[in-house]
Amino acid sequence: MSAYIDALDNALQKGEWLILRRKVGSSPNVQNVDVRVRAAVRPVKAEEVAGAISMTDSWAVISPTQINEAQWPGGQPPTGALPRVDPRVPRQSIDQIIRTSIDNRERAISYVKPPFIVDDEIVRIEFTFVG
Amino acid sequence: MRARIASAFVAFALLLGAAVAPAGSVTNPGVYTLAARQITTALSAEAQTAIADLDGATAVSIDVNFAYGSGGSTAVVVVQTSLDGGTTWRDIAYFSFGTATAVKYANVSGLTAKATGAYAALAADGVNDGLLGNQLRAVITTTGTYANTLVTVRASVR
Repeated sequence: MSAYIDALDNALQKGEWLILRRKVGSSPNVQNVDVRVRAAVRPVKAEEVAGAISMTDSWAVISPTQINEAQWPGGQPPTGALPRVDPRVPRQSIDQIIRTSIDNRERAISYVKPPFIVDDEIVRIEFTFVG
Repeated sequence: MRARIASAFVAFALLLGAAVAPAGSVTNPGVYTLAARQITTALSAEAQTAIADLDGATAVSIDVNFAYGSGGSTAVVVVQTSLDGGTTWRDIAYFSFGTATAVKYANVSGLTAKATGAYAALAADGVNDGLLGNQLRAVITTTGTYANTLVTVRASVR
């Protein structure tokens, strides 16, 4: 494992647990594919408010450790066409976050930064979510 | 002095032993999603990407949730395992569905079979017990065009 991931995992020990949720299907046949991830969360800064990010959003950083351990979001159908979007990266307006330390409300992911990659490995994921 | 060195060595060995999974335990136990996808047009043995790194797995409980919407005709989910790093896949469980919501499950053990057996791909609901590698995947075959229909395959590996 990358030293970058180790360092981030150590830093996130002071963070909180989130549930990263991908919903599959449409009502009434919907299934959740969840993974519990360690995260650091803070309110967005004024200078970060732009586009889909509003002042009431929260910013989060997570490491890929728990996602890789759970092999989230699991088996995927083959897509054929390349480049294939890495299914492990949270998806804007599709995936949701639950801050279990506060409540069980689903909060939409409003913006996902391109993941940080070192030596062909995702080492850090940042995104914002509503609320 | 010699006793101190010996006790330090024993302490180090115990520490090392605590950090290593005991022999016979699965490397990454847990519940994995082998598939979670909507079914629309017919699928011809569509293999989902595999769940890997399951070395030491001795059993797996498989739960297949077929949430029916409308349309369609038949759907089959075959769970397969590989013992050669994903080159060759063997059927371990077969689940068939039609035009109704249903949940089916099976338990496959890697410890049960004590005799040799001739492998045969599964063609009806059932399992090939005693055959469990370190990778799992789901293969989905459907006929007819389903709408708002969802299949979810989860495996508890232990």
